[in-house]
Amino acid sequence: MIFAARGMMVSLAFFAFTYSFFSLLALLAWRGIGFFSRSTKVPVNVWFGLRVLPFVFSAAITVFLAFPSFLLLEAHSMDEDAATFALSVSAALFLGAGLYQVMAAAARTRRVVAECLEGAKGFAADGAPLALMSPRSVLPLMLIGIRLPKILISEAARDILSEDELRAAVRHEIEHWRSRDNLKKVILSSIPFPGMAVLERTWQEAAELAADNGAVTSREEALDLASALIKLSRRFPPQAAPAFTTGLVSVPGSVATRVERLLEWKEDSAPTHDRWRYAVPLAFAAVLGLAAKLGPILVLMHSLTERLVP
Amino acid sequence: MDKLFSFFDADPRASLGPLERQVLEVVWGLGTATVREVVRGGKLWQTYPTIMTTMHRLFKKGLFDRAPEGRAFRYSPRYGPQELERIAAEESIRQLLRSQNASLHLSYLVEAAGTQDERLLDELEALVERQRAELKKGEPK
Repeated sequence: MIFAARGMMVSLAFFAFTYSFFSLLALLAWRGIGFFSRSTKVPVNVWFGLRVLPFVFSAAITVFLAFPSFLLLEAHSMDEDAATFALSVSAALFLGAGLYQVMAAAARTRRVVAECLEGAKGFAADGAPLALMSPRSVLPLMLIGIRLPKILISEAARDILSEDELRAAVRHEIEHWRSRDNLKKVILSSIPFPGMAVLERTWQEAAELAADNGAVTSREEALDLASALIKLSRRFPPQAAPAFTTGLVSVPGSVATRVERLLEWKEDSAPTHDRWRYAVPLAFAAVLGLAAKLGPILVLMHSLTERLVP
Repeated sequence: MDKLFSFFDADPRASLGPLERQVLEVVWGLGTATVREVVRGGKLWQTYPTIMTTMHRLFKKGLFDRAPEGRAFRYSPRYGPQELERIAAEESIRQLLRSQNASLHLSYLVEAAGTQDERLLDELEALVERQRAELKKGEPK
């Protein structure tokens, strides 16, 4: 029992070390990409990947390599020092903070969404999972929910937008739903790390551009969406969307960039969704390769753990 | 009283006299320089002692680093032109916020920014309408 607890402590300390290291690398990569290319040209999944992969890599290495290597190769005499203990506590705090952040944000979101849903009625909108017309929506258009999402359309938005503009705006929210952006917000909220807010903001802005891009298939539609953005941003002062929701004009300062991009829309701007399919067999091959060499890798991991968290 | 405080609090890097700015520009051009090199450059008509005191003042203000070279010093600028502009802008905003009428000044700032936004939206709306008209005519650009 004590041995397993030691294993947990060392693994947590190792996780804290690797998570910090990979997060710093991700921030450097973010700076590098921003330096060499315009951030609006970078695919949205790159930003999300940069933000999430440090956690995924560190968690996977810790759970599948560091912890088993400790159980198999560590001596039973206790030789961990105070720094290991401090690192493991900081990792536990990180994980706890993530959990607390998600729960608090979910409670806040539930409260705001409940208020927005008061008096909401069904509304027929093309292809929308479930559209509701709301007299009390805090944003002109919002996508709420994760598993069973709904699109809330404010009465003011319906009144000021033409039919085509409203359709384009709804398609924008549908794109957020297809990209699971609300779920991604929950994931980001659950893995906090100091200094990562800039990367999250970059992802959020890129997600809005990607949703715009996915929502239009012709120049007419691009102009409808651009016009909707201008009309709504004039009427509704910019404000942040509740935590786990997305809103059409909720990210401050990005409306002009989005309209400019829509004005430059061309047929070949249509998004391609198939690039990431190649990643799945590659990841599978990597896992198989690791499994084939598991013994030597565990020995290597154990010596690495000994060095990093003695 | 406000003025007195702002005088003491003001970031010296943000307030430059005309000669200090000229000297700074010469040293930016040269990369690093001694007093003699600035004087010999011929861009300034002031005498050696004036340039020397000015460069010393810039060093005291934290705008120059210096390293001994023989019996003189070699000065190098600590900030580029853009960085210095940012410092000056930050200092101006800080002073604005420190003043008695900070909220009034802020409201002017917000109003000015709002007008700018409105203008930008007007321009973008006109562009959208123009492109729509072009599409209707069947003459896509």
